[in-house]
Amino acid sequence: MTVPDEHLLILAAILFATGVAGFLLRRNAIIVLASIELMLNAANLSFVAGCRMHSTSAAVNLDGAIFTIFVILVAAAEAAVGLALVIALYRLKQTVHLDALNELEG
Amino acid sequence: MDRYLADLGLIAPELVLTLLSLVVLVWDLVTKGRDSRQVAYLSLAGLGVVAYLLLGQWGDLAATGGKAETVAFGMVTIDAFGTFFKLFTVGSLAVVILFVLADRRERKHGIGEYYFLLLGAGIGVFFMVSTNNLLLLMLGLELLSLASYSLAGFHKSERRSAEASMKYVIFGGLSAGIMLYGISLLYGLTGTIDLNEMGIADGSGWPVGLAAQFAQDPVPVAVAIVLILAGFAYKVSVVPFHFWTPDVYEGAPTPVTTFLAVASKAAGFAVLLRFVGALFLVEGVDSTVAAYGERIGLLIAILAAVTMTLGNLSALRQTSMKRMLAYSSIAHAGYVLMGLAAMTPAGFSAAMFYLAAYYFMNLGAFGFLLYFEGVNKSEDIDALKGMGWKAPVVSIVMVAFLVSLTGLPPTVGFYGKLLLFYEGVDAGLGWLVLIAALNSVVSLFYYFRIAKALFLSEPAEREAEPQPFFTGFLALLGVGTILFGIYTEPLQNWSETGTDSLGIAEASE
Amino acid sequence: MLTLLVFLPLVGALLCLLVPSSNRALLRMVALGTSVVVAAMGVVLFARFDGASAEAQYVASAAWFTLPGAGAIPIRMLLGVDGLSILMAALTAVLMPIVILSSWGHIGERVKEFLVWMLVMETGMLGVFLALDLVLFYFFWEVSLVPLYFIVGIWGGEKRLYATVKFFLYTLAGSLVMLVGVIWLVYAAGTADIAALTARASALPSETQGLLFGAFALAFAIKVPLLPFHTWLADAHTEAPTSGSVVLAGVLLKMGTYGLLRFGIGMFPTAAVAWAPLFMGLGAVGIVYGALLAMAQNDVKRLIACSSVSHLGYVVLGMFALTQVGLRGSVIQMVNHGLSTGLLFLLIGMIYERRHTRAIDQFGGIAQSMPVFAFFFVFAVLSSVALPGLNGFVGEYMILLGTFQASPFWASIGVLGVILGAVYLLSATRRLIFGPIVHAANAKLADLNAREIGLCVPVVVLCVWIGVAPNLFLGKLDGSIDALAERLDDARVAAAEAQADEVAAR
Repeated sequence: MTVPDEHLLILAAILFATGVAGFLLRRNAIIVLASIELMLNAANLSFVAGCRMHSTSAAVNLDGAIFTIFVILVAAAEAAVGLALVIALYRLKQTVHLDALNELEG
Repeated sequence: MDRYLADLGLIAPELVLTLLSLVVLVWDLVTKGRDSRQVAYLSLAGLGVVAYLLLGQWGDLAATGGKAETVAFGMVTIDAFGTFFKLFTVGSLAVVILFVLADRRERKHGIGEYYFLLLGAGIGVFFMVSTNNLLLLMLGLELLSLASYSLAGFHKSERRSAEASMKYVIFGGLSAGIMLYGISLLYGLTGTIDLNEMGIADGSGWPVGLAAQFAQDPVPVAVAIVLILAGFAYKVSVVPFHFWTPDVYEGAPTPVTTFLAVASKAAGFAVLLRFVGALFLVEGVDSTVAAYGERIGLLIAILAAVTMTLGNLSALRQTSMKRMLAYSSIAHAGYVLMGLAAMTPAGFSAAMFYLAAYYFMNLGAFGFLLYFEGVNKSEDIDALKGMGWKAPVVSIVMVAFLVSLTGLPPTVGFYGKLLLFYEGVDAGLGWLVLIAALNSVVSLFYYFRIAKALFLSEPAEREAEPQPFFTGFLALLGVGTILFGIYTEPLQNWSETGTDSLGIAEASE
Repeated sequence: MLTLLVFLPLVGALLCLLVPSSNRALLRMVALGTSVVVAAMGVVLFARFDGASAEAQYVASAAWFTLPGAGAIPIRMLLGVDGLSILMAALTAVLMPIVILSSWGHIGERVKEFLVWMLVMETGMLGVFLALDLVLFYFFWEVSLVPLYFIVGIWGGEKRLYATVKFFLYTLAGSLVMLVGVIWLVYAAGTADIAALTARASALPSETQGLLFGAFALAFAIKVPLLPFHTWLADAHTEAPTSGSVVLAGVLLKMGTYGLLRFGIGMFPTAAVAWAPLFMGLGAVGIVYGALLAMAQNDVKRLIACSSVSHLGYVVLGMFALTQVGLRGSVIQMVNHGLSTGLLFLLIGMIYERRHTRAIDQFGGIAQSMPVFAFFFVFAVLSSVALPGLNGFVGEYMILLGTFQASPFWASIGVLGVILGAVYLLSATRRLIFGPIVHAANAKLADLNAREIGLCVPVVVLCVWIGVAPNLFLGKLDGSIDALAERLDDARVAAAEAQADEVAAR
């Protein structure tokens, strides 16, 4: 039994929506970063789905799969920078709450 | 094998820049950051080599119709369009490095990675402006972004810098997520990640061109394209993706702000122009697609109007010059979008001209800001009161930049606006041109507040220590601002060559 | 020749930049020398100009850039002089040395910067009058604007900031609307050459013509200033340093009326015919309103500023009468206003330097202590109120005559303005110059020195000359005004035909 392509795409859409919702609703820096990861993974899933749709047994379209690997890489780099900054911020403010980012207003 | 060597030759500037960044990093490690100025000089020298290679490449390209014959490794499209932006990127990188050297609030030791990050961002720009492949485009964009996040937070022990960087990462991550999801949808629909194939391919078998998609069901493909455009819009801070701009610009060290406002933003526009051009305006484009292109153009026109209006109105009430310039850069993004919204080759080349003008005047304006941060230890416009008489050369040059930013003659900014307005009228966007003209009146208000503070107040008590090198440098930019406003031909020719190399054509009626 | 004329002041400005700011004498000599040379060239140009021809003369052309797009439109550095611009250009050239010389008295600080801005402005003003390319015209139009911002803002009076910002915003708002008009017109007509535009503009659809006329007219009306936009002028005039006021009255305001003439009427005769009643009305109301405002002033400089509004009302009134006589009268009146109001501002500057007040009630009886000053002042006032034999009479008479042909009603309002003008100017003169000396300070005032007399004499000579032999000056206008009037007649005929068709269609 194989999973239909549509299901993959629907799951990706749900993941993406969850990510966006998490980004908009939560104020904890780490959870916000995690939401972004969720969105990136939604993209990954739909890349993989696309890859499967476009491949036949004769010709394999690998673009999507390669893209996925690079997205994972980018996500890791982004998480590294993001978490490093969270730590720097925690040292300054003793909190990781985004509402504490209030030095720059106007 | 020969093929690969030839391809390597095409991306020689990128290779040299990459090598340079590695050498800079290693040098800094080996010398243990004892004197970071050496690293800066090394970077400048390396950028000189890159510029030399780019100029050679420009010469070759201009001789052969603007486009290299092969696509290097099937991914890197070397054309005059990309080289135009690379040249300006190298220029502004050099300027930013000089700014770091001149920044009085910056340490002189142990900041070697500053230069490494700047060069790394440069590599990102180089790749993103010269590819039609969405994968490479994404990688370039992310390289630029990651370097920019770190640069914005370079003073991580300063609250403002750390906060700016945090905001930048979060909003940047959001936009990356949105853009990548859009790309994945577009890939799913068309089966390719190459913009040219999407634009040209016909409907039979994979890859499926856009024409077939639009004919079948326009909604998914439109959603995908709008999501991708949103990602780019974030990079060039178009409303409603501009939230981060004032905060990040204000919190980041001023040389970094300069880089973000000038090089990074122009690179974002380069990608935007290439993306829209390749999908909707490419020669021989299907009429269904062209029709949707016009809708996208209208959408962009509306965003342009909102962006410039909001940017200008917000700039009005700023007391900090840095923040004011941040809003002003949002407004300028709106002006450049006018050229894109025209959806004509001439409109694109007007946008390119305006971006070139934007390099000059904004580098100058931020340089002025940096100069007076050093003198006044403050970014407030009020702190500039009467300083025009104490640092006359810098201040007079600043007036030239302000005149140019407002778009008055005899400056390059005027000519850029003239072109944009003209192309706007040409494309039937008279209402947008009118809004832009009214916006220029508003912008006059806040730009000339600086001139007013400088010259129309009693001379200040404080003295400004002379910085002959920095002054001379700004004066040079000022001369460029005025010179290219009168002798406009070279810049105009370059931007036209650049647009030609995109292979886009006037939409047939 | 024209290229040299326009850019020589800029060269002078650059020279001034090279002189150290401590060496004031040299700075002043460089600036004065430049402007005298330019003035001499202006006079020669005027003398050699052939008034019978409607063609632009002494045309200098160089390629500048090309507007891309559907049809590539070349923009050129195209300079030339014709009957509409010759008097203005000559007036600018001749007034500038006087203005620069007058600054000796009241510009004591930052002399270098002042002179540089003045010379840059001269380039801008000459360029505005001599440009024959629409984009070039706009270019110079803006270039002449920024220097005044600094001249008023730095060297002005107490409320200079307010005045500067107000003036700058008013005029720039107008000129940006004009920029849209310029671009639109160039796009629609496919050329930026003013001569070609003038020929082609009338072929545009009439709604487009109306809108374009509106865009241009708005910018120029603000600059003139016509009635609803006049408030910036009173403040700018009052706060500007003397030399700034003189330039403002003598030349900068004329850019507005000149623009109305060349671009409003010249390019869009049909629209001009349609809109003429409105402009005549605004002009006539401006005459009376300015006069009434002037009556209420105690500050003599503000009084003159208000009288400017009134006098420019005449210019607009005569211009939009759209008759041969009226057009000529309004052009000559532009010159007259520049001379006589300029002279008044100069003189007021001189007593301000002595007493540091401009309140009329602080003066009185200074004819006894300053007879020479009194002579010049009375002369300037008489020239302003159009005493026969002086320049003002020629202009106002022709304007009223021309207006009468077009609209007796507005002409009669204009006549009312003449009477009011005489009332407020003469009564101000009486309070200022004659009567007993009330304030002791006025008894010991030193009379004008040689430099100050030297400033006034050329203006006086010109005033008398125009008054006695106006044909020398009017003759220069013949060719261009005839051509303009011809186009206006065509437009009228076309309009009448269109109306007749409409009636017939019903």
